[in-house]
Amino acid sequence: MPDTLPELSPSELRRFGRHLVMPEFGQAAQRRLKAGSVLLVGCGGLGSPTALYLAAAGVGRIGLVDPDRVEETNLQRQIAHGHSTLGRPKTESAAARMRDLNPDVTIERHDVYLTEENALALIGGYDVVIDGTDNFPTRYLVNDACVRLGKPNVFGGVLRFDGQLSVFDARQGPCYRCLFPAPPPVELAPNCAEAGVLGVLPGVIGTLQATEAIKLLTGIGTPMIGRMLIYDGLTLGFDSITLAKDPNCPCCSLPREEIVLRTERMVCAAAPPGGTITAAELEALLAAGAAPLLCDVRNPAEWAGGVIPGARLRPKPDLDSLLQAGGSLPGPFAGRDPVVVYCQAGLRSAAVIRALVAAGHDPALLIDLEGGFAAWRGPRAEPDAALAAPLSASG
Amino acid sequence: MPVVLVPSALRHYTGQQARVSVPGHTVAAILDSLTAETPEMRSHLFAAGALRHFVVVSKNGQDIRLLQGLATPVAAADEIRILASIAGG
Repeated sequence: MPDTLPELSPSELRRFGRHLVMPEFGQAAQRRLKAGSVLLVGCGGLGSPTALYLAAAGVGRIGLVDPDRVEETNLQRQIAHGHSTLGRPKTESAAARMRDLNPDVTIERHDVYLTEENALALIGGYDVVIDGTDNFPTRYLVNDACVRLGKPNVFGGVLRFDGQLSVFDARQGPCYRCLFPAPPPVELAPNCAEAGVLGVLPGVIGTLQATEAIKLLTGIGTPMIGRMLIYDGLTLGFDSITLAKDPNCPCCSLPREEIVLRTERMVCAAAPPGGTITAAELEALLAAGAAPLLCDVRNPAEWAGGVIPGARLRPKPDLDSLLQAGGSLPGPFAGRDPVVVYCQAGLRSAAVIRALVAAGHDPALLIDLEGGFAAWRGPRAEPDAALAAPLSASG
Repeated sequence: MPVVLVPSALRHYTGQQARVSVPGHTVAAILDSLTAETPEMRSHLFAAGALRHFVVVSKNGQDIRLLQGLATPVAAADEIRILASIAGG
């Protein structure tokens, strides 16, 4: 942050009057917000409210990282977007809403995945990072990059009716890996698409993340460092626990320059009986001209949001019914060619493969895509109705 | 009897109960009692006898790693919380 804080314009003095009237906040804090910058990793459920509130509050520069486009299934909770922006990049959609709230905010769009290659450069350009991602590998990348760079990481996580929030700042307290050194195996780590999420829940946690970011930028209050807030939407309870900094943490116990960013691989503890392929390996295969059979076992709404090129839709519930009725894998999958099976995160595909093997399919021909579609970084295709044929004996 | 607070993702093991009263004088004994009839819940929380890397347990709001870990003594009025990492956003 610069030594000399920017002045507030007459329109900003009017706009932020409700901030300026609070003696703990005043012009000094508002000018710190104007001089400050925040990187939002993820413009989904958590990123929507944080983006809108931080823009409205007068943060001077906000970066948005998200490679996805707006889908109809997002609109149950991702309130920065709308019907008018379906199919548009989420960063573009969110930026338009933010500018409408505050035309003075500088918005920097990064329509990319956060990766081990770009994380340091992206995060290095901002004062505060907000983790609003939807998967474990990106969360560990955000953490490790923030520890390496000495940046505060405002963490929020949601699933079903539960929310978690903390500020990880390894200079003053524990980091995410002190708390959770490694991600769960895939079968114990359902995502929101698989396990569900109450639509308002990311609104609760995302607005608290925005609150913490404002406190960090302005220096007011006590940030949630060394504590985790636990929210239970079913009993409507807020609780917090005091966290321990792990002296043997695999990340923040190291000298900062020795921290190497590595993408966590999500694996199944109960590995499916066939082989597995990583998203990068599959992308290389497709790029080399191979055309393996691809079986997408997600639901039609997930399928509608984009698919791996050439994939055929065979939703898991339909396959389950078919197998329970004594049927077998239909159509092109019935031959002797290997089939790559994928779902959103790897949980359902592993279950499908186990069920198919139990029904007599050759496990050697069934290959599970590790991490599912969430791990896919290659080209996406629009869903082709011809490839979503209903299941039948003839396929 | 001490109370265990269970996150919603694990409540299918506890008949959807968020708070379960469980006997025991240490965190380890309480988690043993809690999972005595649900081996799936035990394997969700433990691997090779240790808490899994994505599970945190607290007593009265303190991570038990700040206390005596699984050997932390527990009194009748204490609250034990199970916290599992969640990544949704």
